[in-house]
Amino acid sequence: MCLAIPGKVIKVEKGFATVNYSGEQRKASTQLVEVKPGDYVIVQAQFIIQKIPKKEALEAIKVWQENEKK
Amino acid sequence: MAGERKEISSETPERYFLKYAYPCSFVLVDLGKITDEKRKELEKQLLNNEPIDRTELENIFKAAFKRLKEIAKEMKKDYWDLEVIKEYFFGEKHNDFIDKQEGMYSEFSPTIRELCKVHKAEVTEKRENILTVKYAGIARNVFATLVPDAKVGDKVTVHWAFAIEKVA
Repeated sequence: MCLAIPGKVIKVEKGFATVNYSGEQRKASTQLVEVKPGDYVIVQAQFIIQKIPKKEALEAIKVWQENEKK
Repeated sequence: MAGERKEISSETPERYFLKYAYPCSFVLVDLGKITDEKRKELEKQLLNNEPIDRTELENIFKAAFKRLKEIAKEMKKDYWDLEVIKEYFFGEKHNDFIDKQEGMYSEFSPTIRELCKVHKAEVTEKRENILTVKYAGIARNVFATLVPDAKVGDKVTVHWAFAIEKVA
């Protein structure tokens, strides 16, 4: 029921971050969690809700991409 | 509806279920399983105390109902019985399923599994619609959308980025 893909923060502006998802970019509010470029994050309802360790994020993205191919 | 929001208190099984499933509705939109219009419709029903359709919930949140039916069988009750739904989300059956990494949970990374779990937390700070909550030694910011009257010191449950209900 719950699934989310980590994205990578590539830019932080006042109150917002640009998050990259394998090429696709989305804006997300940083009101709940402070982030910096390079952080991997989970976004919900256009808000960054959680940072996620890089190693874990990369693995999760890989699993996600493999599932996409199935 | 400026200012005061109606307290979400009338505890029907549909409403109780949707409160906990509400954070997942955003995920289902991201996954393309439901439209954002559908999500907003559910949100409106939840926040305005409007009737919620059982069949629709069962169709949208299929995996949850599969597990609710298993628990209902063990409890010898109907799966729409409020006690069954409470046992699932609040009684931590839902967390047990995640810990056992059943079904799709096996593919989730540890951080995401923690977000999927229901946590009992204490409110330590409040600003506008955001609550800072503490559980298991960690502090997080979550939305107060579903518990607009939560105060510092209150105990709440947390699912994804939302406080879900106040608990005694």
